[in-house]
Amino acid sequence: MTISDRYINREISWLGFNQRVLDQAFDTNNPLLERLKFLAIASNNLDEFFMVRVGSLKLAADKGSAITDITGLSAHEQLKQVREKILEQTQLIYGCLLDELEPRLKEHRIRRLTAADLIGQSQKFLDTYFDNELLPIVSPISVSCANDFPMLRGKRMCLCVRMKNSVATRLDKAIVENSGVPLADDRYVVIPFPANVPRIIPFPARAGYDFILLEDLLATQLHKLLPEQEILEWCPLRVIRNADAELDEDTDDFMLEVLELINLRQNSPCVRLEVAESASGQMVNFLRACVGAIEIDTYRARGPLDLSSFLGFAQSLPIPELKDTPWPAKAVADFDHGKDVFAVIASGFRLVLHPYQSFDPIVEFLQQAANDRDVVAIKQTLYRTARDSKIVDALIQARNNGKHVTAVVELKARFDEQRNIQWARRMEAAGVDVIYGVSGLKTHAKMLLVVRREKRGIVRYVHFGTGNYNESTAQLYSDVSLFTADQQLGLDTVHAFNAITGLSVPQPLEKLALAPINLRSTLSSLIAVEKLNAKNGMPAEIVAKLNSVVDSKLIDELYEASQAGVKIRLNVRGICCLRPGVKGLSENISVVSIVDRFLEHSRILMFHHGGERRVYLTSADWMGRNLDRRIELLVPVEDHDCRQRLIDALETYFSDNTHAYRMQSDGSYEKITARRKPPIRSQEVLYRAAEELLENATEPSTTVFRELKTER
Amino acid sequence: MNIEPKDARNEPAVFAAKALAVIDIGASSIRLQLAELMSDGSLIHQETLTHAVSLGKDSFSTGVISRTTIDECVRVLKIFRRKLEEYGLTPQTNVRVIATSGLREANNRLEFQDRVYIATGFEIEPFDEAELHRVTYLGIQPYLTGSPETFAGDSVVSEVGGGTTEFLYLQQGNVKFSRTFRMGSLRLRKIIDDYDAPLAKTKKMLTAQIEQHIQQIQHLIHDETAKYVAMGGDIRFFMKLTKREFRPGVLSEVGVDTLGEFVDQVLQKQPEQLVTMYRLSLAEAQALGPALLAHKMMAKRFSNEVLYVADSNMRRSVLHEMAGGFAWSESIRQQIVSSAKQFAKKYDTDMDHAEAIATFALQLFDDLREIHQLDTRYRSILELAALLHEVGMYVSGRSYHKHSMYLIQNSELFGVSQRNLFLVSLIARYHRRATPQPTHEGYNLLDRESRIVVAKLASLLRVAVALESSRSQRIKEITCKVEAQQITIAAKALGDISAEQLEAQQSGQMFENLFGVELQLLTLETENRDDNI
Repeated sequence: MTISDRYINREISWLGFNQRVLDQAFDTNNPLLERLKFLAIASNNLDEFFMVRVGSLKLAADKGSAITDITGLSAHEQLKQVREKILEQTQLIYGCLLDELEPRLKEHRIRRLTAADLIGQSQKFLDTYFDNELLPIVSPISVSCANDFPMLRGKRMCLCVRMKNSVATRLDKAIVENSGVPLADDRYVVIPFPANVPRIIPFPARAGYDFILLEDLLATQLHKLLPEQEILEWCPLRVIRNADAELDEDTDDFMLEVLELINLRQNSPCVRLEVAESASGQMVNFLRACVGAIEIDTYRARGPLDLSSFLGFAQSLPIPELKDTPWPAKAVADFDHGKDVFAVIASGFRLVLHPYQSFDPIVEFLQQAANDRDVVAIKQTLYRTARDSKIVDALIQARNNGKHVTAVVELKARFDEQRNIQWARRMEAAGVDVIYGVSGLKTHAKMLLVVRREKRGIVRYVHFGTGNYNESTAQLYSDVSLFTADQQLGLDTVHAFNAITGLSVPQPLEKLALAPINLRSTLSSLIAVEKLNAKNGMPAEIVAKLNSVVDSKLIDELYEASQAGVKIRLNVRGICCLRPGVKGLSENISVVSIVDRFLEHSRILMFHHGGERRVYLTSADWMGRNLDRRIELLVPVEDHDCRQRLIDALETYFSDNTHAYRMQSDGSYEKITARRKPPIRSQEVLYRAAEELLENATEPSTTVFRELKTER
Repeated sequence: MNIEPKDARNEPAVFAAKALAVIDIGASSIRLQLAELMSDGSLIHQETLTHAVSLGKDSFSTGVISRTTIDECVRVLKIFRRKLEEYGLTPQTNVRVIATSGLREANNRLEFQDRVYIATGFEIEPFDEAELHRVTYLGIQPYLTGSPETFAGDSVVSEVGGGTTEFLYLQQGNVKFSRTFRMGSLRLRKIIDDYDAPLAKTKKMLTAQIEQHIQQIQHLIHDETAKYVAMGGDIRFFMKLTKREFRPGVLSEVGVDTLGEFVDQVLQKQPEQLVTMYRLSLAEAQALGPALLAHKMMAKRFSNEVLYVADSNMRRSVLHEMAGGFAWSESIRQQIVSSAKQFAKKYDTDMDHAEAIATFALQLFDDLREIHQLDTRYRSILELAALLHEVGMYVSGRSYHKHSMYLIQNSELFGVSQRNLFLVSLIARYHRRATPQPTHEGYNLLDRESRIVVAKLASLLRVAVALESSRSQRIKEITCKVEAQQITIAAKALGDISAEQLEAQQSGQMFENLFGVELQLLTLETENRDDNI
């Protein structure tokens, strides 16, 4: 067996995930605006994929790097495969938008008006909007070649206009006439879209929701921007340069080489040039020469560029019948405002499943801690947080109340750097100890520690999570929260904080496992135990729900376990480099992926462990970067009820037959169908369970998962 | 979480939980161990903080702690001070900062101590050898009951530190003798570095060095089949690495050959390689090979095939002592008393007499707590002074109290620090004749608190000596009655005690002057009980 038969390339696997997201846009069972939302997400995902992955691959390929991925493919070979898939997906995306969604949206009077449609339409609105909102801030830039082409920020849209070059239309008429140099054929102007101007502009319509894209509006007003010019054509464009990509240690295989290269190059070549399909060969050639894009990096779009704008648009339209029935997060009775959360947590472990259950318990916990007389210290990791975060406010409040407050802030959380710097500064100004983590290691673990001096001594209250401390994403991501006052977990947590914040060299941890110290080895020994048990004829099983499975060492261990007879069920939302169900390699491994309304984000592990059924929460995906180059946590869930609830949740995920896909051994995915069985939609089952929990809150807390009929 | 059983001798505390902390300034690291003393007397270990420093490397190579190292230590101690604040502690309350050979051997140790005090408020106590022995012995306390078979015969307990090796020789669990050798892992490492020895020769050179030290010990031990018990961070690291579990109170076992194989592997690597392999600090990596080799060689010599490992460390032992109000635990007290008796016998002391006086002294201490208000930790100091007050007679009967003083000062009592030994010697000196004077050599070196302690204890000792003035153990039992202005000691005696009464009247003056009370010794007839008293 060659290595390419053992693993799946991660880029291809990621593109497979994006395909599943795209499937949701095609799925006629979904309400129309939800389909538009999924389409926008899939398109935006592709953009980010270009920025982060394609850029690295391209650099490695250009450099002629000999490094191969775990399947033995060189960067060049990967690029080739990736490009094919991307082209295929891009075509699907525009097919979906133009042939599927827009005609149906039109039926509901949601219409995109193009520049052509606008001819003869209410010029008054266009004129007013342009004159008031755009004219003062739009600046056309004349371009003649790559040297004077403006440096455009990543994903920034612009309009390129080709005009006839004639002496009569030039301001420098006199100079040109005297120079005797013949004029070039055409002239070009680039108009970058101003920041903070909406891309989608509602167009006053008698009924319905007509809208117009900024590029179309600008196109109707070119005569004002470029007076007296003979306009030959205009075309929207978008450039993604490699330097735009936030290259960090996320690039697994090519990381070091690429990082070095990036540092050397100030002006790296363009990774992708997108232009409208309508652009002439002349226009495209000019743009390619200007941005330095080769033919295969030039993508001609059938429809509008940058579909990510449709995400906010779809959500903002007030048409409930075209959207999902809302599933507002259910309150958690134990953490109702006014209850003493410390007493609640001290009385036993508390498990909260987001977004079915509310994020408020975390905020409530932190706010009470900030204002509690006996609390002496609060320590928290912050990776990504919401815009006007109550979390940050509570930490500042705590500091103002004289608590020792430490925030371990990860500035390098991709695409969020700018925002993170802002609130980190705000906390620093308030006197919070803001620690920027361990050099070279991103702090990805999610933990919140409250130290309280009570009569019975120091008591530590801890919250562990699989999701970020971010109120906004907590409404969209499926995550798990665990609250505990367990002494040893508390002590381990404080030791973990001491290590991260440089107060001490890492101390041995009794219950927690911390990457990059012992998380990998802990996982390995847990897998080894299953393997050994299977070899001895005992029951052995591993069930894991993760976002990505990439690390080849861990995959190999799973293969060995499978060969020893361990039953392994993986629920992997995104990338999975493991090949399931291969005879002689992984016939005991099955992989399922769920793509539904909420982004599957929780990471839960279960090991049979000779009947003990050990359950863990973890912040770490099974990727090299998470296990070796990040601060990550593995938290045992020892409480009987919480453990059972998580096992039930895991089983619910595996019983899904409406939004689940089964991975095939060739790396492709097949949608699981209910056939004659009753449909089970895991996210809905979990939502109903949360509902039921709240209803039963007055009764003693036992959790029962019932199978419920889904909406369809 | 490690909850240690409560010490039965602890008095019930009024507070619910009290934070305690020990900072240990070692040769290769500075560590902070926090704990909470619960109202039931149990001790709950809390956070441990560690930072690597190169104190030992500086001291053992140049004799001077470098400016950079001092700065680093100060930085670390400032971090620790912040952590103490979270527990409501300040550098002056319930915190002990102890330092071992890394600091003790530095010529600029005072400069170091002053700098630390000015920058952080921490007062460092350099730990002397006797204290290290006591703490080492304290560390194996739980195992005496947990692994009794190991200590049934002869046993050797050893901890290889950065600068020195502590060595205790036990018989039936009792300390036969204790020694400190200037053989430490960092010192050994320095020898290799000085000679720039290639890896291939490292083991040979170390073996030769360690062998020299082992020979020094060997002639002291007749029975060569003692069980070997190893302590210390390096051996604990090895045990954890090889997945040997520690159960509370039970010694872990490992084959000497197994350890030997590992030592060979370690010594074939540069410390820098070990740092990445095992996630150690550089100092830890440098110490690992030499320390484990020393353990292996000693184990081979004494134990032959198996060595036992105790999962205890100095900081926890010191915390335990702090939890007990700094008083020695009963088992430690026994070891110290037994060592004191050996010393007294060496100088032909009349043991019956000395022990009788010690008994009286302790009873006076206990019964008169209200009057003298001294901490329990001074009880044993008084006991030692009582046992040893007459050793000076061996030199001469004239001014023998002064001979007692210098003999005690120069003795090596197990587990008693130099400071405490000094107190014992002064109390013995003042058990007769002149009362303490500011001009007296030794006494004038004491701080106020210690001067008061010496005076109070000496006055109690004088009364105890008076009760035994006939040297006949005539008084069998005493009871004390404390009233506002008067203390009455009622003695059950065989026969007439007028000599004792007379002596008590004279020797009791110091006590009377000090406490402003009158002392009266009455006789209590054994046959005819007088209910008035």
